[in-house]
Amino acid sequence: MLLASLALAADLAIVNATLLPVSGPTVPKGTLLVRDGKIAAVGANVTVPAGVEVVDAGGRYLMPGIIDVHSHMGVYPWPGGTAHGDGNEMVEPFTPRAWAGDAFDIEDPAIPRARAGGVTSIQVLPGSGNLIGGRSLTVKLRPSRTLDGMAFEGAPPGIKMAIGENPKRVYQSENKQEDQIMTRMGEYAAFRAEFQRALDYRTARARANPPPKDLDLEVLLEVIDDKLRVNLHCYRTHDILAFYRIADEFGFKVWALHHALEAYKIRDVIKAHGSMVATFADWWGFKLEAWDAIPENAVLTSQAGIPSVIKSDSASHIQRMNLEAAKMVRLGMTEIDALESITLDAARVMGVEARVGTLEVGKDADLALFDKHPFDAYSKCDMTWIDGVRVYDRSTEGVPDGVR
Amino acid sequence: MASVSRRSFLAGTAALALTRRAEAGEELVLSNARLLVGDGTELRGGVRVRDGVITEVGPTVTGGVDMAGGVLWPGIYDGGTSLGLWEIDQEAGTRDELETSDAITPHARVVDAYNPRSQVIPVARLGGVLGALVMPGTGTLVPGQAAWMRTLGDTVQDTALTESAGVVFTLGAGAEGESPGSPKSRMGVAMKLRDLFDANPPPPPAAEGAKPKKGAEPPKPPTGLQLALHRVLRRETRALFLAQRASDIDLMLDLVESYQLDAMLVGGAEAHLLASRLALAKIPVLFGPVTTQPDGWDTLNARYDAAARLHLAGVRFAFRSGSTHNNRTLNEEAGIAVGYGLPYGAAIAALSGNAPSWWGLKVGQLKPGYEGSLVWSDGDPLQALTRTLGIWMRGSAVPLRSRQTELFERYKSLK
Repeated sequence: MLLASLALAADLAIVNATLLPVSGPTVPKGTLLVRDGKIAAVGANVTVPAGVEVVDAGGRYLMPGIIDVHSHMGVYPWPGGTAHGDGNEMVEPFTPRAWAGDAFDIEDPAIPRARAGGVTSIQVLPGSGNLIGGRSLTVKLRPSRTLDGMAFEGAPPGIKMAIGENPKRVYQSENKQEDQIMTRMGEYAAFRAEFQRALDYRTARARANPPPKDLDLEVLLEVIDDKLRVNLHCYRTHDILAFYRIADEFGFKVWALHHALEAYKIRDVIKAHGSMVATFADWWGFKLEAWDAIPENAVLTSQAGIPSVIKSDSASHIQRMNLEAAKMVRLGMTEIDALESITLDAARVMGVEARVGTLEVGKDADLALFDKHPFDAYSKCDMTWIDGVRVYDRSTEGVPDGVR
Repeated sequence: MASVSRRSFLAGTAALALTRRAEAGEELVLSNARLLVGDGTELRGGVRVRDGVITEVGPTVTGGVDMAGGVLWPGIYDGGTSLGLWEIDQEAGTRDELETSDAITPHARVVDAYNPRSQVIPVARLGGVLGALVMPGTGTLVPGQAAWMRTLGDTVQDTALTESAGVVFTLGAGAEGESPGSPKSRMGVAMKLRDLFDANPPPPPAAEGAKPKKGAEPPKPPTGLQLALHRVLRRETRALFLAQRASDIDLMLDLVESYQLDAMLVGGAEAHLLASRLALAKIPVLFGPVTTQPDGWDTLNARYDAAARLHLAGVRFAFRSGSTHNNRTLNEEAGIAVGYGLPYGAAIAALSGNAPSWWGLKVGQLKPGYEGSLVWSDGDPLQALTRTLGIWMRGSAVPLRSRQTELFERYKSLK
């Protein structure tokens, strides 16, 4: 296998495609031209230059590559087991110095299967056992033997935080002598103390004889300065409101609410704060804080003007995010909004919306070709391109078997 | 006119919904529909239901409620779930799917724990699940007896289609739990199951009820555990083997032959590797989930086209969700199987009619003599875009309400 960074994109024309640009209405018989890995032209009236590789889509559906803002691929690689649990550094409630990229297994066999589902970019998050689990990793799913080969150059950094049931369950263990957290009160008190520690550290660092560099507190200062996008694992309204109080006190923005199964109840408050919402289509009931989930959650937050994303949180569901988004249409979302929920809005959560998420001239040629409309239950992704390089072809690869 | 039987059930947190059984002589007529019969065939026309039972199906049925060309179908009969036993995963007090006091409890019956007022059930029903093979959970070797349940009823007796649908035996890593007597390896699984069958042979029919000889100690009455095993060994009830890995399915085939069991396979992620042997042994498979991934050591050969492969090999199978809260997405699973080569009719049959028919239950098919339980949708029920427009169970309309719809109504506009 070539190192992905060395794979050069040949110029390419995909003709006779039903284009789902997301940025605009469907184009029935369209052409998309790729030059130097970028979309060079797209629409009904595109002239194909001589000499470029031509893919005749035969009426199949071409959409932007699917984007998943909440993946644990690579940090919980397959096959699952104790030796592969690398997503939750649960030794203390705050581990902002940890980075998902350091654990990311680029050979996770789930990755080729996600590519076969038309997924081109993901945000890999640490788990939700800690109040702050660590920083996220944004990658393109290029076949590669190195992490550099998968890098989404220029993607802004993010961080994972968690509130509610999970951290207190982890830290109320009788085995933990230190760092015990029994209640939600304890969680938010711990957040306040930790952010205050970061501010005190900044003051101290400005003095003569500053304390040595603290990698955790350096990261927290980036949060307070809005240099790190906060991806908050949350479910319930009162948890979201409690965390907003802390964010307001310390002056940072909560960039995206993940799961957020009760977001629909306080969508006005969320809109006012400016958070985006990344939620499940219809998972529910796995814990008490997921008991009030309704499948219309993303429909209602989307209608309230909040960028609303359907995410997988699953190496299985990531392979058919098109079908998860399709359910939103049944429940009242427009088709464009539902397509956005797995493309453009997802790109917004990852801060890469200028690069990917629509079929627009100048954007990266990250593309997925479906044999039927991607919201059709029987549809399958036939081909996937990243930066104009074909990274999946069903006719030759079938479904990658997922075995190491 | 017979008296009207009215019963109440809790559909949500606040609302008390009334459901009713069809009156004697009462007729329900639904017409102008595309009928998915549930056995793989299709018809046009309507369905006539009298006293809660289907009396006529097809183009001869006219009048009544106009289905406006939509689809009428029998709904989903989930071939394996813990619905009604399990409310919230992380709240142990709401879970009764697994008796862990001992690894071997063939006399534990899910029907004794089933809660017909579970708030999860209306969510499943609105997703088109009208019946389910409710099974004990995974984690012990012999977790107990499954039961076929409807998804509507006030009492367990009224809800049950059959109170005991077989004894579950767990093969593979799922049997290696912490309960007393649990095996710790696959060797132990096989050893303990053989020991169990060998140590509890059913007495010959003549011996039962025969008077003991004078002076002899009267035989001890068999225990509940023994009675349950006797029924399995006499083929009076089914042995339901939960297994994913091919080698575990191989063990099942060996046990079935050695002890001449009336068996079914549950799960079967790797069943496609032994498809011809399963077909030859005529062992049906409660297969699924379709989307089982090669994400663990027991399912490394899971494939999206496994259902299509079982079908091609002539294995009888039905879909199983293996999920409590999300079995309403079993139609999507069936759609994926179709996308990967399973014929549409076979998918509908595996979703509706197949599994109940193996127990002789008159549900899951739109045929005279079957229960008048139907789902009306505005299109292909396997499509995510299709809406459910109406549900009838045993001839009576069921309100399309659940805790989730009530939350939606409460918050659809913010006050």
